[in-house]
Amino acid sequence: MVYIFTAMYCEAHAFIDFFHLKKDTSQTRFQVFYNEKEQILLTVTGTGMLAASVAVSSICTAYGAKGEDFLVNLGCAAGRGEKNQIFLCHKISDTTTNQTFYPDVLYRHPFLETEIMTVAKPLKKVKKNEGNILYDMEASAVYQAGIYFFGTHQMSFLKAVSDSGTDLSHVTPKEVEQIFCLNMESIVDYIKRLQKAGRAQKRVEPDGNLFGKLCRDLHCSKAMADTLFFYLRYCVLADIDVFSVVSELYKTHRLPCKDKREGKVCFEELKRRLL
Amino acid sequence: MKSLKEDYYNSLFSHIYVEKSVRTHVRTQRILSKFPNAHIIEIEHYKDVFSRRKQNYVLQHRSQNLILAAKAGNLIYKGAPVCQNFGNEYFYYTSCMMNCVYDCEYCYLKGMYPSGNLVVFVNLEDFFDKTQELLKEHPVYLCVSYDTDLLAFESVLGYAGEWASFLKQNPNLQIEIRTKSAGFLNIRQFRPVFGMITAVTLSPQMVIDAYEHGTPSLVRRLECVAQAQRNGFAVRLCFDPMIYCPDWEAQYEQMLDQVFLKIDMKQIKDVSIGTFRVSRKYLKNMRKDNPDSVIVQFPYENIGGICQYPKELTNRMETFLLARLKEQIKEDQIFLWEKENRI
Repeated sequence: MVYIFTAMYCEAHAFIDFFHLKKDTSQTRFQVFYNEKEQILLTVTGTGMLAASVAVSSICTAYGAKGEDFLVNLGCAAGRGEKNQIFLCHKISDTTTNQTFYPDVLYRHPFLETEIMTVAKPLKKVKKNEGNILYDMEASAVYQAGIYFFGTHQMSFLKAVSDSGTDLSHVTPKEVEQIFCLNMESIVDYIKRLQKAGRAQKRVEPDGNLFGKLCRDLHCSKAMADTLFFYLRYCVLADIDVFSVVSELYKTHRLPCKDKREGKVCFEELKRRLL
Repeated sequence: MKSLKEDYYNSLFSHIYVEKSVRTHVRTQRILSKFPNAHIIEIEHYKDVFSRRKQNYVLQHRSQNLILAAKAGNLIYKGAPVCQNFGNEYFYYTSCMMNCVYDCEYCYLKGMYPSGNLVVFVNLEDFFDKTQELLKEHPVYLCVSYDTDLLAFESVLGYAGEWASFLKQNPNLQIEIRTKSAGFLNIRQFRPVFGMITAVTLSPQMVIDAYEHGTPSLVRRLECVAQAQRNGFAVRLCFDPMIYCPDWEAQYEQMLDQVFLKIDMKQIKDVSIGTFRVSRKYLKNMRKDNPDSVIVQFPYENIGGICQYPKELTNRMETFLLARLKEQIKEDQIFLWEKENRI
């Protein structure tokens, strides 16, 4: 799943349309849009650091963000760069606390990269000599809340230059929507790449039925069950035929064991045969 | 895995993090010049990037980045008990680079460090000064390529060459440079010096293919060792860690046949043997980040906080290798990690 967070609805609108997201009416505090088939969940957090961190923590808790999931923070920022240009942020500074955060940039992307400063209130004017540095009001909060659920490689911060501080009042919601429509293809490609990378990380697990049966028939304690699980997982990874080893133990009536003592002896035998 | 990398991941060293304090350092400039297309990101302290929480070592290794920094505080450490001292009383190691360009699945660095990125300390002079302070007290046996593989990155850093030059001026110093690299003879600055031991780790080709990602083949390593011997290098062969696989005996037998065929064993300085072992804490981290690795998920036995193969298997593997090596090399040249002294 890709969790997208935007501050305003106009930043989200183009993606809601593109991914055919449906509003999740069970969520009342934030506007949440979801498409299970596409594995996209978009939340409109509201502007500012507090709103962003509350939204990230409550939504990620509610939907149970996992190891193969990703967080993407999409939004507008003030900057001197070319208007409508999308940037991927590799350095996020919180101007209130002077803390700096570095999301990993592991995955290929077509965007320019830059650093972003998160400010507590709208910026009056971006200084002329600051190059491509961007200013927003959420990124550092999204990172700090997101790190409770995601790894440093699972979070991406994509920001479009909408203004240079002074001309903020001239940016209409329609124009913001237009910025993301213009960059839709590259952003969607990037999101799909993240999804593919996430799917490639799915874990190999041993057969749950076999594990349960062996636990029962070996009279496993908690520690024995943990060790057994390790052995079974190793056998799956190493392509060792567990079933024939276990069948042999059943055939020779070593399994099922009648009590814990017999179970321990049989467990040692099983471990020896598996390696 | 190669195709996965091509599809999703950035190229190696696409991003280089540089501490502000070393931005204009001559070594920083030299290293950066090797990566003209990299994004340079200024940082205050290397730990701001290297020690972040919730990093994934394994994934970071697929798109490894570089951190250039200055190391302060303790620069030379006493050798750890799980490491062999080869009979040297004053055994130390140092880390002027942290992490490795090679991606060996079983490497303890994957459990020891929070990040898969490489850290290079550019203040090498401070490492030399600290070593000289120690040399005033006693002779020193210093491993300079323990938590890394300096020679594998020598074409970028040139640090092994700098250590060799330092060694020339300090006769009481002995240094060990451990590597899996097979290309160090091509580096002009890296020449044999008295007191320098080049320790080459060897594994069966099957182990290299399965677990030592990005490393040279056994044949290339052996050719490099043979040439190094001819060029006058003191070479140590490290059969450490020995890695278990169902037909380990056949694999190691085959490897030894190749070793004895290619290398003049009479000219080898010494040999180390040790089966795979790793601290329980490191293994826990490795298992978390690499859930699908056969070698990491092996059900090791925890003996005194060190996870290792079952005792009986360890004995069989080490006894086998020991017996074969004794046919070719004197017993007092063979070191076994458990014994911590000569056989």
